Amino acid sequence: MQTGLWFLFVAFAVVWAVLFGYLASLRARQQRLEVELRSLDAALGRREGETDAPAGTS
Amino acid sequence: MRILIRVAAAAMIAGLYLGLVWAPEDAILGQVQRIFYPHVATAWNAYLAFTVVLVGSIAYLRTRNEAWDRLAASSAEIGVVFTTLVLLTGPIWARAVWGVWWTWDPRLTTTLILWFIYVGYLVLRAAIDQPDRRARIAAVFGIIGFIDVPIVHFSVTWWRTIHPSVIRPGKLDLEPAMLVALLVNVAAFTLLYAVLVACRTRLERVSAAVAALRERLRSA
Repeated sequence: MQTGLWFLFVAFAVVWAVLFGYLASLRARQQRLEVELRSLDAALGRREGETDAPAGTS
Repeated sequence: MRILIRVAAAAMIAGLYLGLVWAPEDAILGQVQRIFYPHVATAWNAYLAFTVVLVGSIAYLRTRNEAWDRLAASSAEIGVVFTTLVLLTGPIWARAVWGVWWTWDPRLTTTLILWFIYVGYLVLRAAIDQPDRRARIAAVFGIIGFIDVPIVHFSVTWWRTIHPSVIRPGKLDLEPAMLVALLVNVAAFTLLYAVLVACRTRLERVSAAVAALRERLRSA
């Protein structure tokens, strides 16, 4: 009985650990991409601003 | 989306309670039988996830709409997570009941092959940079790879196996309370699958937007 309970505990712990681990990895990837998206957006804005600016202005 | 997340979380907690507390203890296997609830629920959702990969792959090849490719890629990754859970909970149950962690039983072997097929699908996607080519090759792989899903499912009827099968066509070896706990767990994990697909597909969309911006910046 005790052994059965131990295996039951391990199985449920593994299920929840894997699920929370996957959710954490999704969140981390999402945050990393959003940071990159913002920095690329800003870089593109700067680049287009430079191209649009009339000659002699900075 | 928030409502779906809340409903899925509530269903997961309900499934946990029904599986661990409410459902009666098995007369022969004892407490360890309760591993069956998340094990079957994750196995069902792995089937569902790989079926969505099949549908997304066929739809992409027909329409060339990237949304289908994103759905297939997302579902494949979640399917691999669920199959990993099947392959982790199964041996824990096997060690307690059969006395061994693993045996080359047809159901276990075909499930391991299934895991390798879809890990291969994800590795293949990661190895190809060009989006159109990646989507096309992955779609073909996603269609061919699905062949193993019915083989896994019917392995218990096609071959001699020691894997228990309580649910067979026209036959159900399960007490009503255990069946309720099983169905609630299957529903809860299906809702979780829906949440994960929504999150993962959004990730694919942002990733595509980042790649497009990077390209624009390079050519600007």
